[in-house]
Amino acid sequence: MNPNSLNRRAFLRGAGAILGLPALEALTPVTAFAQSTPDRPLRMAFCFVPNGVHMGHWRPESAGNLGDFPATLKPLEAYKQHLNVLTGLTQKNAFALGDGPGDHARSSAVWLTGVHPRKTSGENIQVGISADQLAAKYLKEKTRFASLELGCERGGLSGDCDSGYSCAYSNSISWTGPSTPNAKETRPRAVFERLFGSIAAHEDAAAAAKRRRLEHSVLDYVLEEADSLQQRLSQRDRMKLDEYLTSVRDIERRLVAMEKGEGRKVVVGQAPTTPEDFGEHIRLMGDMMVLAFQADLTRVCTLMFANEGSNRSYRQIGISDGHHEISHHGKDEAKLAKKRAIDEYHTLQLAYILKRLKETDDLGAPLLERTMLVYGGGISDGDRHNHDDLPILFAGGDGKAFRTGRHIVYENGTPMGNLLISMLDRMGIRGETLGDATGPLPGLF
Amino acid sequence: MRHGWKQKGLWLASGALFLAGIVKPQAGTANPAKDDGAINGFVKQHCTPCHTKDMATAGIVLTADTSATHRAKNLETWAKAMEAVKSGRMPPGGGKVKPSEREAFVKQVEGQIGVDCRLATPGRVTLRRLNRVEYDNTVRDLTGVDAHFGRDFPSDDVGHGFDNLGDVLSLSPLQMEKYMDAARKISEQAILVPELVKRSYRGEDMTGEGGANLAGDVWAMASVGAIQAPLKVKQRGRYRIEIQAFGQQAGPEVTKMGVSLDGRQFEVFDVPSTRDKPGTYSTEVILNPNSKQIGVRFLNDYYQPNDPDPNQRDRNFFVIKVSVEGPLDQPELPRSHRMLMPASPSDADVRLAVGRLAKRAYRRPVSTDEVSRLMKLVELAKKEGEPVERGMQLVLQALLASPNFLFRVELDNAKGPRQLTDHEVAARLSYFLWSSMPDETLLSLADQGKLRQPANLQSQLNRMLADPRAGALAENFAGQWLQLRKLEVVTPDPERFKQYTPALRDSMLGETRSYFRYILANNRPVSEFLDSDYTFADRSLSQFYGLPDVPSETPVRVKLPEGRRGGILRQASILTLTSNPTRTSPVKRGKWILENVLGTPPPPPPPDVGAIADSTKISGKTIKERMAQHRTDPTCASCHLMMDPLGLALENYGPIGNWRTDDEGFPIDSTGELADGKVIEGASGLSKYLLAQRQKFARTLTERLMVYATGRPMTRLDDCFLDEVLNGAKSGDYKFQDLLRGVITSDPFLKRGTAP
Repeated sequence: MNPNSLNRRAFLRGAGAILGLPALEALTPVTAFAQSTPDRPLRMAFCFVPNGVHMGHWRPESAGNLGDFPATLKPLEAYKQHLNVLTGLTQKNAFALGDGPGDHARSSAVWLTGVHPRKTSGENIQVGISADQLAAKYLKEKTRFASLELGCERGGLSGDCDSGYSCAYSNSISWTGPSTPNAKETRPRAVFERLFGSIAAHEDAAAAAKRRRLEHSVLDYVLEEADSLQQRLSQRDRMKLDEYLTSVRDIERRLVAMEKGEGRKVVVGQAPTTPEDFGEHIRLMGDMMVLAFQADLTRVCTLMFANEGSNRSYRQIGISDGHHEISHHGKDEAKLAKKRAIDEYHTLQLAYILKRLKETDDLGAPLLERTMLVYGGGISDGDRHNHDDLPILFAGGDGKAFRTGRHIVYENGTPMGNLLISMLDRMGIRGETLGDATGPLPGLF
Repeated sequence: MRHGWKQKGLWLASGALFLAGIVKPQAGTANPAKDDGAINGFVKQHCTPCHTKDMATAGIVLTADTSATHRAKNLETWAKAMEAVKSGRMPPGGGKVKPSEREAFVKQVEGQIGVDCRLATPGRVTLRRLNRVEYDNTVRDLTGVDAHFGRDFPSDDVGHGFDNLGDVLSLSPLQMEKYMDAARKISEQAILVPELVKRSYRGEDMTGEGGANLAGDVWAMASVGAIQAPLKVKQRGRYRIEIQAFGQQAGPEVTKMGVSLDGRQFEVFDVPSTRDKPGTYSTEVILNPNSKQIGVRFLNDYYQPNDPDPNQRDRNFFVIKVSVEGPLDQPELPRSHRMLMPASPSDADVRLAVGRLAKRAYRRPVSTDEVSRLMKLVELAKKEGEPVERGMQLVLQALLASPNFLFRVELDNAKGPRQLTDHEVAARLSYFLWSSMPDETLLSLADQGKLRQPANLQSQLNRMLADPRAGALAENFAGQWLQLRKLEVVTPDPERFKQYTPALRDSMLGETRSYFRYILANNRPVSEFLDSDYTFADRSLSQFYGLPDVPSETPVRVKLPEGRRGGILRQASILTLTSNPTRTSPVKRGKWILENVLGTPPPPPPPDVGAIADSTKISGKTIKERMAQHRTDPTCASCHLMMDPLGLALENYGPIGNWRTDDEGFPIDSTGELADGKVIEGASGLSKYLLAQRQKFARTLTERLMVYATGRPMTRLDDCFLDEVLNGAKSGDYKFQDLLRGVITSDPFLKRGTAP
């Protein structure tokens, strides 16, 4: 084990203060078991925002080195040298292509898959495996969690989410397989307990080992049950049970990894509760992502600031009507101003996440140096619902690893999948295909 | 206003469309007709300009192929086309089509796409996972643990308006992880493993603070200080704490120590003993799994270095060990423990208990082999030196994570449709009416093979509806059918609607739920949903409605004065969830009525349509004037002529369902003109209009009930079964329970079709 991997500390921001606990309590060390990693692995993160952005306040004036930031990007001023603004990227499979309305649902489903989703409000949902999950598939042996899916809005209400499209499309950017959306966790406490365990850390080794043996026998039992059931089911039902089997095997793998795992130790605070304030919620989820990366519990993370088509109001910045309704601005000045304010509020939260990545230590260097983060959405103008010229930011490398600090203008129509392919390449995952992607994106790094 | 012709995006699409595949073409369903030519001519002239493969306007594709074969293969498409033409909605700007032409087309298509009910099959439901609500209720009824783990599960997927459809519910790795986690926690809560703690803490087992220092194996406190012994007990109860300690005595007082639990001192001892003969000090305290540490504090330090007597100069305190033992009493066992544990730890009794639990968890008889495999877990626990309680915990944990519990398994019959077994029927009934597992009565009727008998189905329906668990229908069925769950996320502008508090919202929900329960429980005709001279209100809702004060915090039945309220459409819940934050939306209200009352959902709007101005004051036009543009543009008119007049009739109700006679100073005009020229005047006019279509409403409700009950969408072939249910309830003017009886005795509910 690398000597550096001991005594590394991450303090969950303000946890002690929030809960009013004595410092000693709040900093009870919890070892996060991850497999030992002598080097500093590369991570990838995707942050999604819905309903497009007001491009007039997003697009930098000219291509090349970033000069003055337009209003929406202003909060990112301090990280200018750590990011590229990419314009012209397109997810053409989010367009109707004969399927009629439903641009919101399509745009989120296509964002990381590049595949045109099947129009259905219920059965037989289908899109493609997403880029983060392609990476997770390759990396799953290396970390305890193949990937982490986070969000700030629960999904699912009555009815279709968008014009005959299942809510699964609007609420998920991460897809383990063409018909399996990856559910996301929206409560900070649940993420925390998932990452760091809710079982007392003081359990002695023998008791813990016994508990794991018994848990394993439960897993064996249910796998046996599932196998025997599987043989008696017909095709369509088998697909449903497959989802079950895949998931249970995943848990089994993790249990095994945990049994032999040793590794980075981080010191974390108490599990945080879900805050009222939306920005605080996003920032806490960002904290979770950063912690998971730092402890090397996962290397792949998606974070949906809100679900696609979200109609939440932003009262904290004085906006009482819904985001989706505002995004249908019809060029109305008042609505455009509100849209701009919401966009800016989102980038302000992104700035916090970048700050945390930059300040967090990754074996002696900033975590940001070994992180590739994509921020943006699958709709350009919320009023037009167009999926070309998408608002996309690429951040990472801490100003060293990648050639950042630029506005790169791609020919409009360039598949966004090419960006994702480039990132996968960087992760050492070569030769994957993704929707309509044609190959790596030139000039990105 | 811009509209979508120019766009590749399209302005009409069907909400839900099931093409060939579900409906198999059957010989005889379509009679080859000679007049294909006429249909073809109509389609070419009026339909194909938009409904091409490329544009697929409204999700409808009609090509030059209008043959009977094509129609047979695409029943749903043709049915939609026929309906649209029949209602005059299509072709847009319909004036150009002669009525005779229209009638001829409808007649020809209708005659040929009719379903032959002799061929209708019961349909097939995909393996259904328990959704969150069903999971929580089932755990409650199975184990007695009412813990609501489901609330923290990822949201269930929704399709066709409901979150209990087999094909729609998926299972993600995160969900599975939650199931495993919940299974462990529930089994720990349900069954107590007896645990006797007997532990001594010495030296480094403890931590010191203040003047405490470890000297060899003894904690020495030369000045005020304390030591802490970390606790970990699993069971709440009375525990004995023993402290072996002594003092170096000096000064006027004897050495004193305080004993604390998590910082709170609960006992003070004099410690007169000395090094050569340490004393043991014993006390008792209640500990629970959250107790963290026992502290021992030196309370009265004394230091007089100048005292002439060297033995009177310094008082110090020493602790040798701290012991914890307990619980001293037999722990109180939770109800679940008594319910699940065997009568004795003998193998035969354990087997019996395991078999009984497994049967209830799987909702069916279990085989000897299945019980034996579960018994292995009990044996394994024993081998690990654990008591039988731990073994039963593992059994429960395994059952709760098993696919036979998490999914409602109904196997396919290769040879064709089959009757469901009595146990499968028991589960269908209980999840339909209770959102939970079958109870003992249902299971024992199923064991005897008697549940399927019509008289038993009827008596069980009555019994189950009278059970409090039937409240699940109001929560889950009505909550989704009427979209009440949306009320939890809509946010009327708090500046303008200060009365709209979470409490008032709950009162609104209470009204509609109580109203639903009343009509159900009293078997009223379902048309009472549309109008009535009573409602349910609590104190704050009665104030909001301007009714005589209701001295109750829960909704009670109140008689309504003539006029303003009555029926769900005039309930604040529905009116609020169909409004925008700052203004009413006659379009949303009209759409809601089309969907949930008349069963004819309009297609979604085209992208890029823009919205009408929000404010009456700023635009200087009433909402009705602003909406007039919908009527002038033929592409908008085809749908808005159906929606707008229905919604406009409710304009006397503001964005939170508040009664009003003006909108920001502009008088309200609540008349609306339908496509056929018929005028609807206000809410009472709307009620009359809808009451005249009560059969359509009953059909809509029945269709919704069938989807919810069977866990699959209805297809054209199911029309036959819907007709049967409706015919059975017609003579009683569609009483709610008559519809329910029809549903639970229908083929789709009692039988299972084959896999495609």
